[in-house]
Amino acid sequence: MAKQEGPILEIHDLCKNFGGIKAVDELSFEVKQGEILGLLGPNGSGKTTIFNLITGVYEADSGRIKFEEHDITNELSYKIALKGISRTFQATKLFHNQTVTENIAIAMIARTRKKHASQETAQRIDNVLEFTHLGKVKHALASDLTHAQQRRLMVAMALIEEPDLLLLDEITSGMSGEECNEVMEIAKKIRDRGVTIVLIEHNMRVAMTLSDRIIVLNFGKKIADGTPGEISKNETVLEAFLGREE
Amino acid sequence: MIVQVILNALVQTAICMIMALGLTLIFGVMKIANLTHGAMYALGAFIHYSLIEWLGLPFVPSLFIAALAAFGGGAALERAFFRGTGASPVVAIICGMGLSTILINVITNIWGAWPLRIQTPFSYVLKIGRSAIGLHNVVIIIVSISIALLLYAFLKWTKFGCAVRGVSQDQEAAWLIGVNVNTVGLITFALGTMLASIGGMLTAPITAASPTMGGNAEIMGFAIIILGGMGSLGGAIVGAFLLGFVDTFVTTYVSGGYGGAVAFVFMIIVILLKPSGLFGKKGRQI
Amino acid sequence: MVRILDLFKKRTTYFFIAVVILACMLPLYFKSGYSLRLMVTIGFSIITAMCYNIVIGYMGYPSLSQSVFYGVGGYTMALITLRLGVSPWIALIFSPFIAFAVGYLAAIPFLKLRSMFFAIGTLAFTGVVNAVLINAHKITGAEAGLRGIPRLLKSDTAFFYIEIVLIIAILFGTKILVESYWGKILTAIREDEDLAPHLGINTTKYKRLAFALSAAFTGLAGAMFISYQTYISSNYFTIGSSFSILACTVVGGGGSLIGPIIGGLIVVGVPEALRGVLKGLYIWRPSFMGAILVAVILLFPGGIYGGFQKLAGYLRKRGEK
Repeated sequence: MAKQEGPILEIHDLCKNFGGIKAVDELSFEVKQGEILGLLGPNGSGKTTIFNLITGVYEADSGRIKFEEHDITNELSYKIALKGISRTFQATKLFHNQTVTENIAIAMIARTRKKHASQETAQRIDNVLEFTHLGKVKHALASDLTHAQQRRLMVAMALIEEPDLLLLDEITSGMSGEECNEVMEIAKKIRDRGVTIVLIEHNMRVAMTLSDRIIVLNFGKKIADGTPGEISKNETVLEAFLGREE
Repeated sequence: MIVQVILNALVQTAICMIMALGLTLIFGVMKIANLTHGAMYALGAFIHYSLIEWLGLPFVPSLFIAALAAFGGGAALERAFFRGTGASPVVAIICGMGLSTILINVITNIWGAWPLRIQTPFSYVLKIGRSAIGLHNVVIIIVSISIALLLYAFLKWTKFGCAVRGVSQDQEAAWLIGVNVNTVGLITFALGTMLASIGGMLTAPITAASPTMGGNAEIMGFAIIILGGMGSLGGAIVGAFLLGFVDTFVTTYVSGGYGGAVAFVFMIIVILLKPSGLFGKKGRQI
Repeated sequence: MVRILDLFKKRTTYFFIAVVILACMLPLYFKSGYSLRLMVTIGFSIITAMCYNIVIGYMGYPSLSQSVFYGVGGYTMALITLRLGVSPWIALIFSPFIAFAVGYLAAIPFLKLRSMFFAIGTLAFTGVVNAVLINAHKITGAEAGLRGIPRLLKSDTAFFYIEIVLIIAILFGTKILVESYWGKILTAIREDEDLAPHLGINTTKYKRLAFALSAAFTGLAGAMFISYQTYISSNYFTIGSSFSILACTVVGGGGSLIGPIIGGLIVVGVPEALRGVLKGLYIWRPSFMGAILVAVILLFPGGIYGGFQKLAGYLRKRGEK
């Protein structure tokens, strides 16, 4: 994957309506190479919708999405995944009746069918499991894992595809403080390997600690864009989250 | 001539409507596509026949008794086989197909495979201009309209009807407010089955009673509820008119054989273009 | 290939060879016309169930249109041999290709549906096709049918042996398919079709290919069947026929290699085998099929093979204590 200069992802005037409700309202922003970008906002502000638009789950009503110089607006999901964008989901999406190793093996399929010999495949699976602290449960059924382990398995499945851009949708939901710390460590290691991350988070501590930059949304529109420090002092943001004092 | 065709279409619509209302009830409330509907349609006709021929009871009282028997049968089916299958629709479909096979086999073995003639007391023929319509057919139309109205009243104005509507919208929520969802499911399934049996009993004097008579009726019922939006009673009524009329016109003017295929074609078109039907939305309630 | 040598280390290989040898010896002991016909019929049920297993067992799509493709193969055999006067072997070779094409075309609209709607949609498809077959009686002979279709092979025994070859071929073909990347893709589609594309899997392409492939071999079986019967009628290709194939696959155990074989033996074989024994009960044969299906679907979702595996697992665990 050649690294170019310039943003890895560009969103231009993106719009998505659901029967009269503007989930995403003429939204424009960019994601810089190698950064961790936090996407925050109250419930219903359009964050997951943006992920769904980027990964081809929804069709945009208007606007453009550019990934590494390719226009991926309304592209098919599997093609977008093959181009280098991986994601996790708000609800835990896994192959529950398969083992952890099987889950990763399935996630690898699209990219590795012709590339790697079977020994190397096994090694790569072990590597990613170690990386996400799942080495000990590699033969367990996905449905038998703890909630946090399942969330990490989703990350492992996203990573095995060697993405350039990783979209994490509320990855820490349902996790304890310790488990969140574990995930944050893993996220930093991912970034250190050159993968760009966009995070949707409701956990403010995680969002503020991890993100290099934060974009805040409200009702589908961007209301703030800056460093965690700048955002925490931003009047508009505080009002969106906490309401105005009358 | 056209008046005659319209009259025929109305009768066809009426029969379809009775089937469709029963299916919609079961599907809307329990999210089950009931494939035993056609078999119970047939069984109703045969039980009715037996009450008349073997016990010598008159037509109308036998109808009520047989309907009650079907109600009980439906309740038994729900309790024994269909409870809890709302979560896995494919299991319900396969289960329904299996039970249907058993029921039809039972009917064939008890009553024989040959069609049985049933006499209706309503044999008078009404003349309207140059067209004619049997009194029995008029009765069918009246019964179907009555069923539709009674069902509407039941759902809108009775306490149990409200419970039914609640369950069809959200089962969990219904549990939480104290509705016994299992009982609602049981009664609904029994009611729907009873309606199917009534359809069979009323149609048998026209088409003769045979073990597989329910197959076509069931297909039409499904075509209607898919067309009208699964779970929508109003949609079922409109769908019944649409299918009843198109089917009759195709059978009269195009070709006799293709009449049955019309229902299938409708189904395919709707499923492919707008699976939620003309009036349905995803998760639509009754 | 190192893998073939590995096979000889497993007990199951020897068991398998023993079963095949036993099967081949059956015609020597059961020589009556009736027994041979029964064995050939069971063979066809097993073959169609194995093809259907790909779509319902491995891919998770409860199709009800198997009898359409069985019929495509059957009518290919009937019409090519009767109208063009060509050898049935040529018709046999054409049949899977035509069935593949029809299967692929049908897959395009119908595979957009899921679960219940897919089942109902394919059921309606079968109904329409059956209605067309009945009405186009000049071409198809409708219910009365067409006669005089030439036989591929004269004796029933020969058909039986060809079936064994075909069953073994499909068995190995399925095994290779399932253990390759195809198997993983089918698992992904079956377990979470919405997740699969995000892992880079082109679900649409693979769904269509799997469906068409299953249709192709079902068509091949249909062509063979019609040549065996020398007679074709639209009655062979109804919704009820689709249901029988479903019963064989589901009862035996969908998603397993030998499930359909067990299913075919039990669903078709058992009632027939007991025919002589329990004379009066033969009329309850459809009820038997329905009852077994209902019992399995409600109590043993993995079918008989699945139940067997659970039992084996349970016994193993008890042995470990």
